[in-house]
Amino acid sequence: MSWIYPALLGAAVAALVTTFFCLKRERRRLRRRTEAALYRQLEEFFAIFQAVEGGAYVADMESHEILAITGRNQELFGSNLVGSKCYERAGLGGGRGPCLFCSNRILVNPDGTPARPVVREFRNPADNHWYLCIDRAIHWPDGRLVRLEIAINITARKQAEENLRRSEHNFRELVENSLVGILLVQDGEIVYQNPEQRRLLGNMPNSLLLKDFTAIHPEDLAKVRESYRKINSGVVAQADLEFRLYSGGRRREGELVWVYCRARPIDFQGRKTMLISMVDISQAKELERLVRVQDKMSSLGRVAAGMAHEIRNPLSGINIYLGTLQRMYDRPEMRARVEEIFQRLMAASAKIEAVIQRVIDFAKPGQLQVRALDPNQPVAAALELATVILERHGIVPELEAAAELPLCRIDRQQIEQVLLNLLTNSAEAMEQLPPGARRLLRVRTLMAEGMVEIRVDDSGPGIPAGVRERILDPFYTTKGDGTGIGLNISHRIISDHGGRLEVAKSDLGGARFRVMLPPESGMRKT
Amino acid sequence: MALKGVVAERLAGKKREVAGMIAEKSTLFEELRHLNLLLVEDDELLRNSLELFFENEGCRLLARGSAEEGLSVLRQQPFDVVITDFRLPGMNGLDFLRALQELQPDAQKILLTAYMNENVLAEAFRLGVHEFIEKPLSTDDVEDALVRILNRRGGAGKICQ
Repeated sequence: MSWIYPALLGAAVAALVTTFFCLKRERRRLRRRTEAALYRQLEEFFAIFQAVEGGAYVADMESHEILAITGRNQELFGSNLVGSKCYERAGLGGGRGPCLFCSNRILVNPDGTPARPVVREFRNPADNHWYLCIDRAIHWPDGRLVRLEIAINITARKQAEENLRRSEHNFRELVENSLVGILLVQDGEIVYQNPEQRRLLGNMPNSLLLKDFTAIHPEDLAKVRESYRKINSGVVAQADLEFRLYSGGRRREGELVWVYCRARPIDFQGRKTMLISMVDISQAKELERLVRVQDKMSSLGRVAAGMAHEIRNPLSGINIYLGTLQRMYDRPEMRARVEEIFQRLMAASAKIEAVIQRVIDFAKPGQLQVRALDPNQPVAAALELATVILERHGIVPELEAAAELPLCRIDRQQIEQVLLNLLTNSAEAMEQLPPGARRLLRVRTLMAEGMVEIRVDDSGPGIPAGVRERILDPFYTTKGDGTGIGLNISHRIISDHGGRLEVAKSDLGGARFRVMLPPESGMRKT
Repeated sequence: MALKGVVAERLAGKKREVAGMIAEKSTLFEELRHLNLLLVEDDELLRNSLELFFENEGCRLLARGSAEEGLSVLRQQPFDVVITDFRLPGMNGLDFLRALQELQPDAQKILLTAYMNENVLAEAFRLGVHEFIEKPLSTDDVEDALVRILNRRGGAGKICQ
């Protein structure tokens, strides 16, 4: 039986060997299955990056060799790059060595476990695009730790950010260097002022409350308050106005500056804010004043010839009567005649005084001195003043005055000046008509569009449509010897009254000028 | 400039002559009583005053308020002396003088002006205006101008019928 033991031993060995090989084969099969599953998962994971601008790859931590790669951009993330070095397609090492910022050394903790992901933005010099990169160490199916990088192309966002930054920078430059003073006001408090604004108003503390308006000339205060109220309550979307400021920000400090100011509400940093911009127009105002004086002088010159006639006629009459009186002096039978002559002398003297008074009134310098007045009054006065000029042109003006007009707050002299200007313009325009043509001049007062309208119509050649838009501009003239200022000044005067001056075609065939004046509220005559 | 010189000379001459012409002036109205005078002046006060002045001296002065009215009387009767304002409603003084020159070339012409203007003066000279009187005028100015006219006319020996 001695053979039985070795046989048993042999069988046992054979069984062991068989079992060993079976187990080994089974283990290999299991590993292959696991690896395949891992690769499959990786593939599925990678598939996501086909949809993303950018891509993802896995690289060996030591050799930097790309083990797997995917992405929409084939040049950077094509599968043909497997086996090449990750830094060859990216990085700041110039493609010859690992990137300077390679994250490999911080992706693994000292105990050999994967560290927290590293996130950074970088511009790839290869394609000049910006990427958001998320790097993390992961276990490769073969067990080693490898680097996974997900790179998302964020160039568009970066550009938008850059554009925004640039635009903000430009905007700031624009505001800071603007020749216009800019103020931002929130709840009546200055939250921003640009350098020009500081120059205009002096360096006001940012917390200064605007509602006191200490910087504004007392005469303009009501106007400014009213505009401020209108914008604040939303009655108007924007207010444009001119007023005088004390450059130091307070009365008795600094000098008076004329500003043109625009205010409109905006949304600034999510808060309701008043954007106020203002330009120093002191010089323009001064020029305007000078031009106004000059224009007045030139119209005065035009009127002077008529005045000479008006004064020298009654003066001549007086002289002749006096001469005659002298001859009658010692003849008592002439008493009745003498009485009559005295009456006429007194009338002539009064007439001269009236003429002089009108010239003085006309030449008075003009701050707006408004008074509630029947608008028919300046109309009648202007017509009287223009009579000489009109008669000289062979024109007899026609007046249709509405009886029930509301009062208007007007500066009588200035409105008279405007009307006189319109009347003389009409007369001069009709000069161009052929002899014998009708020379009609009609002045009407009426209510239109809720305003009092003073309408001057003539039968002159009219104003061509192209000229109509420009005719109110300063220095625009169609007259050879005109300054082009008269109508502009008139326009300004009417604007100062809160009204407007309009030009249209007249039913008399010539031009129609409409002076629109706001009626004084609550003062309508019944 | 030359024109202004002429005017200045004439005006100065006017002053010089006054002193030497007292005699003539004293008899002026006697002579004038035989003449027909026409005045065209739109200013009522001045027109009335001149009317009264001549009437008081017993002279025949017909006064009209416009050139058109003046022309219509010129067509009906002859005048020795016509005094007209320059600035008139409608037809002006110069046009009136032009028409007068055609209708009655022998009439003596006196132009009244309130506002001397070179162009007007030149045109008036061309139309043979004999005398200018600048406003404001006085009885002396009128008399002096008339004396000078009568002297000149007297020299020529021509007096209206």
